[in-house]
Amino acid sequence: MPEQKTKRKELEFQREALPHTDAVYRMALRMAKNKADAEDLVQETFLKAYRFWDSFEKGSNCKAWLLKILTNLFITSYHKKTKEKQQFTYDDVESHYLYNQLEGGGNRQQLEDPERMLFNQLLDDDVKSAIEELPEDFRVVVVLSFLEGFSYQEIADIVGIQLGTVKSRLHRGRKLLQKNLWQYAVKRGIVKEKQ
Amino acid sequence: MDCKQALLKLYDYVDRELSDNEYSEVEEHLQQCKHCFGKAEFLRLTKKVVSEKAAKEAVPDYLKDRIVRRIGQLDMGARTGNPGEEDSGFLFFRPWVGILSIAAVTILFVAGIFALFIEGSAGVPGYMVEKYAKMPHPYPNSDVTNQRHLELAFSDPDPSFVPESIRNRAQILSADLENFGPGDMKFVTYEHNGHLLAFYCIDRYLFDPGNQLKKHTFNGQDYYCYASEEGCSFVSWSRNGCVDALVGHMPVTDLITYASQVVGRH
Repeated sequence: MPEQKTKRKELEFQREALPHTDAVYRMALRMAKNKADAEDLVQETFLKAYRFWDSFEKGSNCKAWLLKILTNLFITSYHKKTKEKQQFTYDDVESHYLYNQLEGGGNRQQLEDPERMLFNQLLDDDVKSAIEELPEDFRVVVVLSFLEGFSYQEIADIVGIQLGTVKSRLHRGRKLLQKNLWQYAVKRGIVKEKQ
Repeated sequence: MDCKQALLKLYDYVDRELSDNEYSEVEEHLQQCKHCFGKAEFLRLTKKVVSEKAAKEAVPDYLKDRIVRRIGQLDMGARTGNPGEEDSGFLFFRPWVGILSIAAVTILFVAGIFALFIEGSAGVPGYMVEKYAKMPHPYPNSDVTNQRHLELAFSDPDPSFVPESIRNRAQILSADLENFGPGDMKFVTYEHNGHLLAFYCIDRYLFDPGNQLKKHTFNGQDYYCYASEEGCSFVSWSRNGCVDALVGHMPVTDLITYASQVVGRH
């Protein structure tokens, strides 16, 4: 009977997909940058996922599939309304920026364990903002890699880009993230700006 | 392996993306080189701290509940086998619908979309004709009948008059009518005597019964829209007793600017 079939689908969806709401919500927050849009995005992701549930290959990575839907929704509808396209020069940050700053800024002398010290004192919100300030393309891969622990290949599949592109975006995203984190550390007075 | 080679592979090393062989090579170098080891540790620590500090949020319960409820609603339509009746009934009793029946046209269209992909029928369903005939006309001076509104709403969309910037956005999202759902957009136009009267867009906001239709007045014109805080689902503006246009999914301010430009061109 169609009714039983629908019920079964609903239960199956609740069992397989709904446990990933936290991950979907986190990603939505980092991408949309505000709670209201993030909630919309989460809701749409799940409704769309439900519609397409029959096409989801059972047993494959449901979280990755949901985040793929979310990424698509975000790219096609959300970021267009925020007109986010920033002008950005990508290569103006050195590698290992934060590390070098810590090593070279006289901070090593002041602090027993500068890295740990720095990170312990940064607020959760600083770290979130540091991520959210990344240009969108980089933010997506950084979130998927750092927060959700996906492999390069999984990220490539989710975002729909080449493996090499994942690597380069992640590389640049990391550099920028370090720079952003450094700026928050300076702002909080945790470290001194290099003279 | 020297420092230069090791540093090149450091990110991949920290992300565990190296082959076993490469992994041991880097590992070996790190054991001998304090400098590279420090960098690797730092990268690892950054990753750990970032994930710890930025991954604490849990989805609010009310959102979880809402999702479960909405999924139930989607199914309710499928179960009765008469989704249009279900959907339009549920939407029609909202007070704003009576105020502006163009919204009803749109909603009928949405219901029609349900009917399209659930029942596979392409024409105007009978129950809609019946329901729509009883509704007051929103623009009494208009020579466009309710029936015609309906027919036009169900005719093929022709968004050619829409500015390209908006059209491109719409086309991407409405490419697949079969799979139309929240988050997608669909443009519909209708015309009378060769003159385009209305253009509108249905999109995800229509699926949310919590949305309210709001009126904005700009240069003496009334604009109606479903508005969220930042975005607007669609807007209609009227002129000479006819609906001139409905546009979808852009910030309210942009929409009004755009609307005034189009009205100015007439």
